[in-house]
Amino acid sequence: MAVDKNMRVLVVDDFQTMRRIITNLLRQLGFNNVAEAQDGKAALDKVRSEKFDLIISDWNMPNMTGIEFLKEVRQDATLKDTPFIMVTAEGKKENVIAAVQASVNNYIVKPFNAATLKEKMTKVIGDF
Amino acid sequence: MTEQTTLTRSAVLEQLEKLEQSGVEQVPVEHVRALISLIRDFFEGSDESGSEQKGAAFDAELYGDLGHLARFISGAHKELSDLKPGDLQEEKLPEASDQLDAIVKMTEQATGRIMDSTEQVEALLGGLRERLKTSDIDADTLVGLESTLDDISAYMTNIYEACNFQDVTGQRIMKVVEVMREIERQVLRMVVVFGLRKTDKKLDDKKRKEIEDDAALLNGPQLEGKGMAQDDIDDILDALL
Repeated sequence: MAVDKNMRVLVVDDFQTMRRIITNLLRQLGFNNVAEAQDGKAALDKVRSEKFDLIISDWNMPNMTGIEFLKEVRQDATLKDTPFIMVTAEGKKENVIAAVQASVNNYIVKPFNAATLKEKMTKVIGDF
Repeated sequence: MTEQTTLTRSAVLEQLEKLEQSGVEQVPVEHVRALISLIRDFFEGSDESGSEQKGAAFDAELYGDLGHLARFISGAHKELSDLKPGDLQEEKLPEASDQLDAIVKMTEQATGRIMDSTEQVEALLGGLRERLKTSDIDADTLVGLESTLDDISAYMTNIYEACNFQDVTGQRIMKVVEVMREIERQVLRMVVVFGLRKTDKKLDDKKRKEIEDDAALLNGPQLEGKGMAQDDIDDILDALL
């Protein structure tokens, strides 16, 4: 089944520039329904008040990190199935394992390109 | 202290006590000589006990080592003073950190401007595509124009991808800034411990917390050849997911 490009995507990163980059790349890929949050805490508030079909989150953020945010999402009965991609500079094996243990759907290392983003999104939400 | 040393010391103390208790105002010269001899033997280690001599020799060696150490510390103190670590901690390191901070801000602003312009071009391209749909130009020309627009769009994607540099370089520079701040803190400790400046100015708790919080966020990015590449991570994901 083809992916609905109108799906709601949440981009979480404390670096505004990075949020813009991901949002623009998503738009280039045809995804225009994108919201942003500057840390895990703000993102958690957002996903609890609006429905999102995909979360793309950074790891290192103030207030609440990406991994803490992921764990909160997975513990919430109404949010636990939301596809979650971690986009981070943390390329350490233990971080990848920790993210997988917390039930991340995929993991992208910065810097990345549109092709990598598309490939990972395809693995998580299906072909588009 | 050995038993022999204790006995010798006891002998000296005993003689002194006897003299004090005797209440005599004049002490025979031979008693004074005997007492001096006892005291000298105690300090010079010329007691008949071999261990006492060893102890004294050891003490002398220890005092000698302590003397060397004291001279070394004094020399190091002088050398450190000559290096003016106070200047390093108060001016040079903070200035270098500020310069790097400024680089991060400037590249961030520049990246912002690049993205502003790219987004505007993208909006114009969108408008152009819409106008082409309603234009009456011939099909071949339309295909050619749309292909050109696709190429432009691909180049714009490249620009967005290239803007990753700001996040990556920004984080790397901030990592260096944090290392410099740590050096600054260590130099400050050295300055305070060695008393290399008059005022003992401490880092304000709030500033220290800010620095520590920043440090917690500065774990990336990984350097090329260090950490894992996307392919390595994909291998782990394939095995685990």
